[in-house]
Amino acid sequence: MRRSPWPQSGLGIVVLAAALLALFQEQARAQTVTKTETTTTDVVFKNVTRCNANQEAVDIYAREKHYTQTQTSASGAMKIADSFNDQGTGTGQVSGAQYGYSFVSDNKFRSSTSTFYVRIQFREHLIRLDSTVPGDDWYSLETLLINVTNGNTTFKAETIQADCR
Amino acid sequence: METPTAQNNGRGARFLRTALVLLIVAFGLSRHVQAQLISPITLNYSFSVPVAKVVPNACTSGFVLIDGTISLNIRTIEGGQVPFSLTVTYASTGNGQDALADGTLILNGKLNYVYSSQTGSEAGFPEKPQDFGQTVGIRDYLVRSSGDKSDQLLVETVLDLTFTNGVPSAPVLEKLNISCSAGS
Repeated sequence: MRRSPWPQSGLGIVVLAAALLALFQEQARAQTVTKTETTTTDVVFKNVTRCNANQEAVDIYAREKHYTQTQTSASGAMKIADSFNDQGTGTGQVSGAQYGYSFVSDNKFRSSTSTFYVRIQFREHLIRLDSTVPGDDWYSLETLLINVTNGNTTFKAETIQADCR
Repeated sequence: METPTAQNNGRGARFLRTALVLLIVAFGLSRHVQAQLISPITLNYSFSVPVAKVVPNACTSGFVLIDGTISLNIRTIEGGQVPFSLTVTYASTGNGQDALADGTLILNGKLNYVYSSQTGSEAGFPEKPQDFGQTVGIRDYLVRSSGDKSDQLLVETVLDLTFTNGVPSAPVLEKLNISCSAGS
């Protein structure tokens, strides 16, 4: 009696499919480009008004660092992981009062297109750097523009305003 | 009595007039339809994410039970100044109470923490993306309702938001990052 050829053929097809899948996965991995960058920018915002009209305006000087990892696949899809480290000081325009802030924020974006922008707001706590003057710390809202053009990422601190909520 | 030629001429003129009127109506309709097609399509969505968790108090050795809500208002615009854009407003409110690690509230003479904030984000694309996602931190400062900022906490709520063909799915709360932000 002749044995059915199907079991052997089936096994062959499964092995072939597994080999092809592994090959495709290897190719896909090879086509994903990963880039890591560090960007440091010194930012100055002059004449930031505070919530109370009686409070003096403040000039803010900040050093903003971005540790960015960008992954771009062959299809153009992107993944961006950005660690934003922002440290700044503020100086009262009349009194010279000093304020300080420091924070780290991790943000991630993924997109099927390699060109887009994101504008995002961050809250900062400006602490009065003189322990003998209580109750003079305040909050600000910084708007950051993240521009992605054909997989290349740039950052721009656009505005800072007092957060009066 | 009209001759056959005169009758034919009359029918021809009527046909021409009707065709002209139809042409004008069709032209007008096509302009109207075109105008509708190129006017922006705006869609609004809203979600509410409850936040209830016991977290270590980064300013002291205790714990805080955070109880709040983040409301997300999302607007997508297709065909506006940017071919496709999405705007997200995050409004968060809540309070924090001193507690044990298991969430049991404790009385230590200090008033509860309160917080309230509003931030936002915006993204723009040259065309509607098949997939887009953002994982961002919403930063809230928890201040004692007495105004005492000596043990003020910074709570960063990390939310993940996914858009498929421009339509958002429910946001996912990924984690809370706690740090001390004591002020004066």
